[in-house]
Amino acid sequence: MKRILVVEDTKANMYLIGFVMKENGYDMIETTTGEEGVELAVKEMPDMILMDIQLPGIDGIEATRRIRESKADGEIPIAALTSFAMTGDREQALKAGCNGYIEKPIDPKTIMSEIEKFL
Amino acid sequence: MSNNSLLIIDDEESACETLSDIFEDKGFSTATAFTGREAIDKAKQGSFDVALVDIRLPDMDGTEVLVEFTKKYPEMACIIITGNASLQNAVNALDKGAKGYFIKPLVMVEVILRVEELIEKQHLQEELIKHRDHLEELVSERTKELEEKTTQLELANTKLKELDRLKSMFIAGMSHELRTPLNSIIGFTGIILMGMTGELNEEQRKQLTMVQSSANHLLSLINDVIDVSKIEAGKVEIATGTFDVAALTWSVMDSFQVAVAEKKLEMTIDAPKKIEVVSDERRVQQVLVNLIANAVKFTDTGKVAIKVRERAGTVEVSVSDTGIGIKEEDIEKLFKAFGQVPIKGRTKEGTGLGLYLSEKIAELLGDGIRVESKFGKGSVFTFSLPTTGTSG
Ligand SMILES: Nc1ncnc2c1ncn2[C@@H]1O[C@H](COP(=O)(O)OP(=O)(O)OP(=O)(O)O)[C@@H](O)[C@H]1O
Ligand SMILES: [Mg+2]
Repeated sequence: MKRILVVEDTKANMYLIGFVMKENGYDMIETTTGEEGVELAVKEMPDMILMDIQLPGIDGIEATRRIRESKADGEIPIAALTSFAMTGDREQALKAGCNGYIEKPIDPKTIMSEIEKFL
Repeated sequence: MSNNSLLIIDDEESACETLSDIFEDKGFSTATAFTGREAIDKAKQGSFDVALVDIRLPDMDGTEVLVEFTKKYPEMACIIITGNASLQNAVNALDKGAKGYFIKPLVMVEVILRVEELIEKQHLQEELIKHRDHLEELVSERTKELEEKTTQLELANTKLKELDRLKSMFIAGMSHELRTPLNSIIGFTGIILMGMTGELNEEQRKQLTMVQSSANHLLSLINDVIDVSKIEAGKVEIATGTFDVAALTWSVMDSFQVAVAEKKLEMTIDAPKKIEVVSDERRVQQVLVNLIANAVKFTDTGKVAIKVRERAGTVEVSVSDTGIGIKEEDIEKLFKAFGQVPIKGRTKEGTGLGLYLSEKIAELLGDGIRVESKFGKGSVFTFSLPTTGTSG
């Protein structure tokens, strides 16, 4: 079973992603902070990371940078969760080491195929 | 300040007294001096409007007193009085600054007239100076006031601009916050509609679809508001990259197939296979979507034609339609925020932000949007982007 780490501070979003993943047979590791996201990435070595950009504490960009800098990185694919109007976020996310981005609002119809692109 | 004061200088005491009496009668204050020295001392102590100077003085020549006075007290008028008439003396005295010249025996009326005339002149002079000074004062006062006003206005202006920027930033931030809960609404509606939580009956599906489409509409409104406020705050980000604008146009057009079919319109595209441009793909897409959406929205019969063509270093994209058209006088309204042209018998669709935003974006990416339209016949909206070369 593929394990996906989701770093997302909005409860409803987390539930939504979790629901779709469970339906599709994925395992989800969840956290609401960038700091814990970095820790879990290193400890759990998930198959992929979904990283929200706006987070309390360190943001998704900084968290991605720290994961990329850590020795245990292992080139885990990281997809940033961005919003349409925040053009700057996407660029920064890619620069920090994200492999791509998935745009909010999360569309339950397409989210899995988007995730699969990173696996 | 002139106070009608007279200094009489004559070595003959009786002559002094006569003059003094006559002028005191006329309301003058007078002082007398019998020698040049005394005259100079008296002039030093008090100021006089007019001095009557006898040429022949026991200690010095009256002209010396005259020279001293005109040099030291330019405001004081000197009149020379002499016992022996000679043209040379007269010319000499006037040369040295005398304002009058009388020969003894004096014709008093003439002397009085001359003195009064001189004093009158001094009055006028003083008046004039007073006015000039006052005027200068007024002018400098006004100038200062104006300068102060200008600084105040400049300050108010910068404050206003800053406030306006803050307002725009606030709206952008606020709208951003609004999106988070909206995203959940859209997401969960999607999950339920997909049947992932169980079967839906027809009515539930119909109503939930309406929830979904309203939520999507709200989201696009919020996105527009964010864009508008960002543009107004000068904070819009343009992410340039190389992309194929022909392919983009094809794909945007495709997304309108359903809407076009529903309205039984025809839609055509005339574009090369590939044209690369260096621009912001998402923003170009946004403009294209707005223009094509408008063309479809405001056309009831006929067709929507999209053209992409290369032209001397630029790519020109045009969207034309056979729709309701726009009157000449309404054209300027289109590009204003919330600018819509009300048409009798047509329900209002949209917000009126589409063209406002598209125009701003097209200006950032190229040189704005051009419109040609005939009321009742149709419209053409065109924008262009700079190319980089490779096409085919
Ligand atoms: N192709 C067109 N034909 C006729 N009128 C048009 C066309 N495009 C725009 N207009 C006029 O210009 C107005 C402003 O257009 P704009 O795209 O800004 O707003 P909208 O389409 O009404 O709303 P929104 O785009 O925000 O959903 C429209 O309301 C309409 O009156
Ligand atoms: Mg529009």
